[in-house]
Amino acid sequence: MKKADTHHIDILGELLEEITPKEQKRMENRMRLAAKIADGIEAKWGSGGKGKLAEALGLKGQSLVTKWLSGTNNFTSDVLSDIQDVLGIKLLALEDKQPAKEQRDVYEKKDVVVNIFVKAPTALSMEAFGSQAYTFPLKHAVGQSYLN
Amino acid sequence: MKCKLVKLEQLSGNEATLYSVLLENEQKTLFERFIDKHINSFRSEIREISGRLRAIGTEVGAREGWFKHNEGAYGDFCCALYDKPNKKLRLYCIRYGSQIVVLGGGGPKNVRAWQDDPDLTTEMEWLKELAKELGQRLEDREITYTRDFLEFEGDLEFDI
Repeated sequence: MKKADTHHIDILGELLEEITPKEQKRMENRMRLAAKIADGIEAKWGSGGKGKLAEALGLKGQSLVTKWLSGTNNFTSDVLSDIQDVLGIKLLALEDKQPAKEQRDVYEKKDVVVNIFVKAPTALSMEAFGSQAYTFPLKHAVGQSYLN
Repeated sequence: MKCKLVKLEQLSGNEATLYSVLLENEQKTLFERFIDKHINSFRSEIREISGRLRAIGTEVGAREGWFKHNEGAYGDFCCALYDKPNKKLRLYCIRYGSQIVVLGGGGPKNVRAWQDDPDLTTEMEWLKELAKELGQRLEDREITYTRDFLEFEGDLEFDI
């Protein structure tokens, strides 16, 4: 069976080249997000569920939901949070309660730094003043470490 | 007026095939004529629409939500694509599921309904005729879908 001939449009090529990879990715992600919401509506209420989402979110009509599903909308995190709660789907990936490994490493290194620059001079200062209780100002304590 | 469907290679991909219409003795498709006619006044909108069409063909498919429906007669699958809902420019299309879109012409819609604008009416009425003929051929199986539903096969030349 015969298929259609292919056709190339020069000016379309120019327009597509003007779109940066970042812009194209943003367009695609807006569309993917809309598709995920549309699938969530379909799974929860079947076709025609736009009105039910609007109702669940307290919206006056479903025109805003139609706009969301057009794949052109730039969502706020508040709106995504509300939608995912109603639909029972994940639109915001916030399930990681522990910091990523790289972040933990940074925090651990910061602890070491704190031990060197704050705790150690404080201990020294206590030795210097014998058993007398003395509240050493933090900036002086840090300064001591440079003196030693 | 004789015409045929042509596959737009720059927009088509694994998710959808985008066709436009080449009129007899013309070098440019309806979609290309739409670009030429409106590029000076609506460059950013046409750029955005082009990017969305590429995303449809290669990444996300022609999902129902991307289009404004009920533009033609009941069941003829005529619809409109826009860059953003509050913008004026409309590109009229015929959508067959999430895998095939035929791009027609269009223009700025400054009226409530396309029927109130003579240029848009011409564009849309012509596309409706094509949709009717294409629909009939699909029904008669003179045109069929490929096994992956991504393309049409059969006699893709029309006299509208």
